[in-house]
This record gives sequence, C-alpha cells and structure tokens, in this order.
Amino acid sequence: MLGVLLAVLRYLFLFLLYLFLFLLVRLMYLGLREEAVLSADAGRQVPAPVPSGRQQQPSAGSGGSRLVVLASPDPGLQAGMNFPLGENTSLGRGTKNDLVIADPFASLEHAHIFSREGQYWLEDLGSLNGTYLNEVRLERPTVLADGDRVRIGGVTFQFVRWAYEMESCD
Amino acid sequence: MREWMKSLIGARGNDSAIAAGQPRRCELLLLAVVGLYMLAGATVLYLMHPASGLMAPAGAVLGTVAFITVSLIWQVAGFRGDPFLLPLVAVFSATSLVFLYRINPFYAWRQFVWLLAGLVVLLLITFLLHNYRVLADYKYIYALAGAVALLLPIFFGVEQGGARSWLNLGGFQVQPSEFVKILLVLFLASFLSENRLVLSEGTRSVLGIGLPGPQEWGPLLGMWGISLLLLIFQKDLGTALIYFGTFLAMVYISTARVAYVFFGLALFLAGAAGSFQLFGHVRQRVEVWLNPWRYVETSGYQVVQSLFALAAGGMTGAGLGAGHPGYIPAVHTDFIFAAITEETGLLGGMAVIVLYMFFVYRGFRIALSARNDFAALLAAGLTALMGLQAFIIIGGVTKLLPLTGVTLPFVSYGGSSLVANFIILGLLLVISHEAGEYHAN
Repeated sequence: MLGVLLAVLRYLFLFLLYLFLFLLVRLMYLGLREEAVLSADAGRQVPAPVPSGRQQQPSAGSGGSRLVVLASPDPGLQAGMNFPLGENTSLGRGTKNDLVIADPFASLEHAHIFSREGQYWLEDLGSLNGTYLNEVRLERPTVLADGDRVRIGGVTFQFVRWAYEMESCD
Repeated sequence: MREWMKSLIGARGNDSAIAAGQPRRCELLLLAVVGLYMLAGATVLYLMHPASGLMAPAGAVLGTVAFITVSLIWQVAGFRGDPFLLPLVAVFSATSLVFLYRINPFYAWRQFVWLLAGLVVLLLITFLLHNYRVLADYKYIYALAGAVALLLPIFFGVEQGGARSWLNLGGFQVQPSEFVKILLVLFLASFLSENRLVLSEGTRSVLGIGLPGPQEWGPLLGMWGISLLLLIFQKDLGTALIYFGTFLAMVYISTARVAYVFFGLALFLAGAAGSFQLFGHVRQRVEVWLNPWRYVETSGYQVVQSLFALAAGGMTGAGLGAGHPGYIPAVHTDFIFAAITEETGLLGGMAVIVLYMFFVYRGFRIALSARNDFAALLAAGLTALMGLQAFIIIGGVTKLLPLTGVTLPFVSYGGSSLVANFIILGLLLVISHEAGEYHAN
C-alpha cells in the first residue's frame, strides 16, 4: 500500500514539474500575444512621423541661423532638432557648451561657430577626432554656407540660414 | 479539462488580459504550482522515513509561504517586475531543498535559512534600488573591490575541493568569487555603455580595420587579466571560465563585432594550452574528461559515478528517494544535477535544463526592453553569467566539458552562491520594473 502511494507521489512530483513548465510556457505565450495586440494598437495611434529639419518652419523670434540635427546615435540629440546660433556658439562634450554633444568621439571643447560681418564661421578648437565640413576635415576657420553639413563624431548637423536673410544678402 | 485550465489561469472569457495586465497574479499561480511540487516531493521523503517527523512537509509549506509572501508584498507595492523569474527561481529552490533533504537533511535546513536570507536580500534590492542607474557611477570602485575580494582568499583563504577560494568568517565560510562575478558585470556594463561607440567603430585604422585606442580597451583587458591570474592562483578554473565567457558575451553584445569574439577565443585557447602545460591539476582534469575510465579508482571516480547515476535514471528515473546519489562525491554541491537526473530520469533532467533556458530567455527579454545602454548591458551580462554557469556545470557533470567545480545556480548547496544569485535576480527585476513602468504609461 505504501509502495503504491510512494509510486503515485513520485510520478505526481514529476508531473507537477511538467505542469509548471506547461503553465509557464502558456502564460508567456499569452503575454506575447497581448504585447503584439498592444503594439499593433500603439502603431495605429502614433501620429505621422515628425517632419525632418529641412522641412520644418522656422519659429519666429529665434533670429539668425541654426543647426539642424540630421543624424545622431545619441538619444539626447534627435534628428530634426533645431539649435539657433548666436554670436558665438560652442560645441563639445563638456556640459558648459552651448550645444552639448554627448558623443564619445567629441572633445570637451570641440569646435565653435561665431558670426563675423554677417557670416557664420566654423572653427575647430583642437579637437582630437576633428570637425568635418561636408566630410572634409576642417583645417582653418571656414565660412558656412546654407546647406553645409557639419559632422562631429557620429553627429551630423546641417547649417541652415533663414530665407529672408538670403534675400537681404542678394 | 479546458474549463479547469481556464479557471486555473484565472481566465474570464478574455484570457489574454492576464499575462501582461496582472503580472503578480500570474506569478502567484505559478508559485502555487511550485508549492504543490515541493509538497509532493517532501511527502515522498516523509513517507520513506516517517520517524524523522513532519519536518520535510512543514519546510515545503514554509518555503512556499515565503515565496508567496514576497509576491504579495510586490503586489501591494505595485512592483512591475517580470512575473516569470521568481517562479523559475522558486522551482529551482524547491528542487534544491527536496534533493538536499533527500541527500542529507542537515544541508536542507542550512540551505533553507540561506534561502530566506536570499529572499530578504531580494526584497531589499527591489525596494531600495529603484534608482539602480547610480550603480553606473562607481565602475573603478567595483574593479578595485573585485580585485581585493579575489586577493583575500589567496592570503587568508582555506582550500576546499582543490580550490583556494574560501574565506573563513567566524561561524561560516564565504566564497568571494561568487560576489565578484556581480561586480565584474557591473564594471563591464558601466564601462562598455560609456565606450560602446568607440569600441565598436574604433578611433584609428590598422590594415583597414577600425581599432579603438589603448585608453578604451586597456581597462577592460587589465580587469580581465587580473581576475584570470588570481583565479589561476586560486585554482578555481570554473569561475575563471565563467568570468571570461561573460566578458566575451558582454563585449560582443555592446559592440556587435564578431572580431572581438574570435580574438577572445584565440586568447582563451592560448591560455588553455598554456595552463595545460603549466599546471598539473588542469592536465589532470582534461585527461579525466577524455577518458575517465582509466582513472576510475582515483581522479575519475567522481565523473564515473555521475555517469552511472545518469544512466541508472533511465527515462523517468529511479523515483525520488530510491536512487543511490550518495556514491557521488560532492553530490550536494557540484553534482546535484546527477542526483536529480538519477531519481527523476531524463524527463526531470531535461525539465531542469529547459527551465534554465527559460530563465535566460526572460533575462535577454529584459535586456531588450531596458531603457538605456547600461541597464541593457547589465541585464544581458547577468543573464549570460547565469546561463554560462548552468551550462558549464551541467556540461561537467554529463562529461560534455571538462569538470570545473562551480555551483548549479539556485540548486546547489551553498550560501554565498545562493545569496549572490538572489542579488542577480533582484537586479534583473529592478531593470524589468523600470521597463514595465515605461510601457504602462
């Protein structure tokens, strides 16, 4: 009698282990299906993608020119973000910069953009990995033109001048 | 049957609302099944030796209550961590307690106390460490603390089972390398998340391949070399293998460059060949692995007994309590998998392996859903560590790999290992809690 009871309990022991395994898989499967439904719902609710920087309308009052992020691996700088340029805008990894680039290839004080006689100049501040203007490494301060691409580390900006400025220059 | 199933998983028509919507209810259901499993095992052990009293069933009930209490506290506190990890750990712990009691009740009671300590540590981590990202700020402290903790046993340690990795602290012994593995993962996660881009793209070019500078890979290689050297002096080969495997896995996960893996494997092969030549105990392990039957009476005895036990188990096993695991030396620590397989058979052994695979699966899912690089790397590293450790010891016991003495996570007897593993579980749950909160909003 005891022998039968022991045999039954031993098989029950093994059966319960497999029951646990079965329930685990079942509940995980239900969880996955739930997630699929949720993400499908989320996909429908997401608004149209944010327009990229080049198509964005300039916001009034910021004045001057700006840098638009084209590509960045760092979530802190997302494609389409705008940075208006002042008299002197410093760029780099350090937090004191006007435009902080949290990229491991950026130096603490990497480069700056300054305005002189109505022109914007880009100058590298002796950075380790260089500042690239239209994929050419910058050797000396250079005047920026509308549409120029500035790359520091993995982050690429586009330099944009306001349309009315272009008209006033002509 | 179907109705019963539905009521069991708490379904009311729309059963998909359970898994994601109410994680803690899922967890409770699974824990209840684990409780029944543990109680069935304990009842078998009680019926075989009724003279020992109702200690075993009482322990099973107490253990189940402890796990369910943790789950209920989380439910009250609104904790949103992964609902499958705690039941998985509970089923490992239940297996551990049942088989340790079967081997020697004394081990089971000590393990039970450590289990309760582990659950308290788990609760503390899930409540106090919500802001786990501050952990990323102390990477060099981890490197230093890890090196010191590994050095201590060399000077003040006691040798056990051929490895000098134990510290005697008054009444009990601690194995620092069990905790250093967490420090290693913390250091790597913090360092790699900061230097991920540099390591994956490189700052200079050699033969057309972008390579990072020495300031990026220097600390990595240094940390790795120190831990490996120390472990060789402690003769703790299994732990060295786990450290190295985790290191490679994390570097690969953070950079996605296979070249690092090949480079690491080449380093590993060179190290393995070197230590084979230099150290007698390494050579012995390899020879025993290649042909244990030549050393049946001496160094191969343990592995041979383990193979006998595995074979004796057959398909459904000898039955709990009906095998002879006592013939295997160290059956309560490194070789517990052989005891489990002898008495529950191929079915039981495979179930344990599949459960470890699910643990790894949940861990990598947590890494994928993590909100930042540090959390993702931490979760992936801890998971890789856990999976590697289970693989290395199960491989050793079944003679797939040379035997290296490490514990089977959550199952082997050993307080340091159990508490360290509960810390890992806590970190994984905290990361998944954060991701869960994000997805809920």
